[in-house]
Amino acid sequence: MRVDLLEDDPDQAEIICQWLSDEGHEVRWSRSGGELTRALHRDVPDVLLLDWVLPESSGMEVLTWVRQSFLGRLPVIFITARDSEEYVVAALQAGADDYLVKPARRRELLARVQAVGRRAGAVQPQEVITGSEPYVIDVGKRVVHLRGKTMELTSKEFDLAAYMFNNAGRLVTRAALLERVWGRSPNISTRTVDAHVSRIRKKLEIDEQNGWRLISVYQHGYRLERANSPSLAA
Amino acid sequence: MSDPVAPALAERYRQSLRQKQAALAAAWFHWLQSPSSTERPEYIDILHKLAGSAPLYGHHELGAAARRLMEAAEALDGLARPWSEMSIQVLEKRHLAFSQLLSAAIDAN
Repeated sequence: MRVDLLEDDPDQAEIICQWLSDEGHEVRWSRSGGELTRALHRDVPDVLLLDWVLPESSGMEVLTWVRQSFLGRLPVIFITARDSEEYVVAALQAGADDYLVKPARRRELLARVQAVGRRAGAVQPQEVITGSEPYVIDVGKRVVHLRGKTMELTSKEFDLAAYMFNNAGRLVTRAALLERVWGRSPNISTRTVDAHVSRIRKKLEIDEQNGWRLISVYQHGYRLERANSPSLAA
Repeated sequence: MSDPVAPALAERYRQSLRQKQAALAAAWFHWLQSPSSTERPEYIDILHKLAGSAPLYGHHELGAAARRLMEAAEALDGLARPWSEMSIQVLEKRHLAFSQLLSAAIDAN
């Protein structure tokens, strides 16, 4: 997963970044709220780790901004020395998905990152997506097979296909696809999303014969679902 | 149970404690002499960082002591100035005890 860490203390950041990297995550470290928001405009991670006490703006202010911004439901974990019930409740009510009291412990931190990323449907590295038969989506090798045949996809089409299969059965908005697959690049429009969805539908032969359908949900986005499931599309 | 830390990182952190000790001593005097401010005092900020970082590098006792001293300093900082001599003396005693803990961590091999 891609993890952003907001931590103003280099001593703590270095250890936490190392723990996450050793586990196969891609980590980006920001020292201040301003640095983080600039980074988030360039690329959206799967999970955000926020320190509460910061020199310029507090982690709580950053969290409030995240929840009101284009980032929407980006999973956020607070890591802070503040352990009173009052602070824990305030952070969770402000929209944090989890809360970790300092000093951070390696296995607990990694487990919590994994858990919130999993709940948010983040694509895991080195993983074959399960439940997508007859398709085999190998995220580690970045290839899709259909009944043993390798399907030709561009890198972005693969990312899109992996995201859709990882979120099979769920409505996925165009905005979510822009954030998760394109990292909210400023030059990408929702038309690009539509064009890519159309291409993966054709290239992967997603149809009833292969047991899947990729439907457009008017004004919202798309849903990839089993062909034998009752369609909820209007 | 302590999480493993690369020896080179642990040693670099240990060596940085001397500079942190000096910064804490300077921040202590500055905090006592400066007028009341809405900004977080550097003294408390240094303790806050030590409370978070020291256990990550295996200095659990130091981290816990930094946290307790930080909370005591925050409590005093929340009071209107001038602070009573007794309050300052009580905290100074804890500050000196913490500094000794820092010295022990610096000298440990």
